[in-house]
Amino acid sequence: MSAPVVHTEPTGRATAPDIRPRYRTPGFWTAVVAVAIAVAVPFLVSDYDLFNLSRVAAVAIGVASLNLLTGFSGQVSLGQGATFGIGGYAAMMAIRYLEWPVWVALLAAIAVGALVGFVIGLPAVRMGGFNLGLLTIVIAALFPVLLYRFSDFTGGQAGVTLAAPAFPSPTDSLTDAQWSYLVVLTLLVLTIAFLDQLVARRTGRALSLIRAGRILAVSNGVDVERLKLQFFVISSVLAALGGAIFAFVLGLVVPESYPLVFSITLLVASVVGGSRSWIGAILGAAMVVYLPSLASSVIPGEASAYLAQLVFAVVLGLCVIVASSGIAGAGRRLASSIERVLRERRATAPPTPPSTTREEIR
Amino acid sequence: MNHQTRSRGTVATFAVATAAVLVLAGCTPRAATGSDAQSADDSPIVIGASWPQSGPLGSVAPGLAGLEAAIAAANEDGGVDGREIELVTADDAYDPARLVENERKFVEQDGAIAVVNFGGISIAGREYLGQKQVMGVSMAGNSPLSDIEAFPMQRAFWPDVSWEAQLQGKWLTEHAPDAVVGYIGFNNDLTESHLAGLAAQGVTPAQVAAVPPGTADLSAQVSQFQAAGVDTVIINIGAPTGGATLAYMDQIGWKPTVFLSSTVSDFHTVINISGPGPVEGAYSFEFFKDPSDPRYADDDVIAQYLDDMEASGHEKDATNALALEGYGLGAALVDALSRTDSFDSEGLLAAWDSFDGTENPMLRDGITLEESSHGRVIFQYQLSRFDGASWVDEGEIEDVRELGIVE
Repeated sequence: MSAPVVHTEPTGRATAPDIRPRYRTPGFWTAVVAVAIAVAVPFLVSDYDLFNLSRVAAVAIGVASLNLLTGFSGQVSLGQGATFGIGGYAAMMAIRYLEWPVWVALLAAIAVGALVGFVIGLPAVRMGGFNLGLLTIVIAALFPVLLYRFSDFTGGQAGVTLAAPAFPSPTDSLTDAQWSYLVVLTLLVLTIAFLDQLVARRTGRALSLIRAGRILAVSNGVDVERLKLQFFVISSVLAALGGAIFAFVLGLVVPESYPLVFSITLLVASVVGGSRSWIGAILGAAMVVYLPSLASSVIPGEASAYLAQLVFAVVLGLCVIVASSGIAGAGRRLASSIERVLRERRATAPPTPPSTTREEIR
Repeated sequence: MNHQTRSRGTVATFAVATAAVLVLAGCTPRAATGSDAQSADDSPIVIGASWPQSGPLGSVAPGLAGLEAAIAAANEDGGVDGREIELVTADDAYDPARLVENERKFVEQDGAIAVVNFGGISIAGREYLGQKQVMGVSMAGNSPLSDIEAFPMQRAFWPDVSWEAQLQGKWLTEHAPDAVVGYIGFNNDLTESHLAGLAAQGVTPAQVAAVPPGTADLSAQVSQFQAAGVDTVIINIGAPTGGATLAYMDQIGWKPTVFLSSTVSDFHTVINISGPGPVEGAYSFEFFKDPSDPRYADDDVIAQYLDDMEASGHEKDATNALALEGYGLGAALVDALSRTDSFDSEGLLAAWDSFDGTENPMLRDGITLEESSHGRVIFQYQLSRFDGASWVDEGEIEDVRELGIVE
């Protein structure tokens, strides 16, 4: 890789191509600020809030896995909630019944997620068309039924619980909730960094071709079926990982948490947050976690469930009609508008003597 | 960096910081969690109630209204030892994950010394409450909640459903030894507990229909029961299933012997849905009163309950037996708090385990709260039969401890 060629441009001269090292991009520093704030949060808010934020992070991994599938590879899964649940059950059962360490249980969830992704993805991708979506619906509908059917194994309605926190704090200076949050946050950051790299590379460009059209992709030498299968498996792995982390945070897996509607909720969260944005995945996950509680606190009783559904439906409708790239995309457009206004104001302002600019000082 | 890039970065960073401020504004600062506030002598005693107010079991929400009425009445009378009882509530929609989420809020944010909830999903929260050493009380009959050796912080207010099932099995063995039994219940461990109780008395249903909460149409299962020669139907399922099923059985002219489990034998759960005709002749082993039953129209305790429901703004739920049961649970908690040595989970648990012939507004005359065994405090039942207008007692009150059902 050649060395970056970026230097401060003298005022008034034409700029060279903007090729800068990553650490000099605004996105990098925004991410650094975001992570710094996220790391400071456990020392500012209560353990209960950290529990909820940890749940957001875990669900965000699940939504991000769906973003990879829908937003970047143009496939639709209505069974991501089931894969999320399968990961949760795999990890919890590995700990509870096999007494495996937490990190090994996470690897077990990843392995099961990969297996599920391969078993579903292989026939669906080969059949093409809507078959992937249809097959994943079947999985989502069957999963809770199977959990009840094999209740001796899965714990039935009672599910599987942990006798102790999955991520106990190794030091007295941090509570279990603080430590758990930091661990889950780290896993989320690593997941997003991995996904960001994945879609930015050659495979990302190949995915763009697939989204543009199968014939175009094939004519450019892309093995469409193989790539789709690869991304479905990766997506399933990440969904299972998110599900395992979610189960660890909650200390519980139960069938009621993974009905078909949960898979649909994840898909809606992906669209509402922004299916081509990792920040969008976090925003969508926050809706999934906070909306039911907020709705019941605003309107207690039976109406609360409908209020949550109504809010979800309205936001989804708005996103489909006026903000197709979700909240994250709308936010990006808003930021661009503000930026444009600032730039125009700067352009109309009297020019500043070059010798006094901060850039020159640097 | 050029101006464009720098301004984009500034806007993005500002956006992130704003989002963080908004998120933090909605959170509770670490220093302000409820556990600290609990230490003061005059601070309220906090009890959390996670209860289904929506979802498949939203019909049990009046139980929470009754609980609130009992706590409000106690506070109106000066609280406990001069301390107010603060009841913090949240809807769990009968979702175990939301139940655990609510329990964490009660314990970690509100500083609750006890958590009450409804139904079998309470099982999901036992581990957490055990880890935090916080008492849990569930209004549920599922047998797993009797396992207080493994989960020493968990108690249940209703008796174990398997005990009532044994009474039903015992009655069938004595009065209808050749009965062909059909069972209708939820598709969860409540049914498993009930069937285990019947099996303990040598009764194995020929047909079992276990369906999700909220199911209304069991016509196919009823036809299957008929085809299998079922002549005795045991129903242990909430509204609207039980009432709708009895109404259907009446429509098709099928009149088997019917046993309604105590917690689903009241007017709101069954009789108001099916109409009194289809329930006439049905049996039930009861332990609580039903404010809708005409025979309690002049009951002083029920009159006080109705006043308290009205005073707390819950008059619309007052005729619902579940509201009276919630009221009874609240009264039991207040009684335990009035006897506790310390206003913490340990003290409340010790007081809860030591009821001794304690009267309770929801209990039928002659039935009292007793010293805890298997995590339960109610052991007596009265066999009753519906005469078309009201439940009528048959025989004497039976005590499952004296019958050897509970050791």
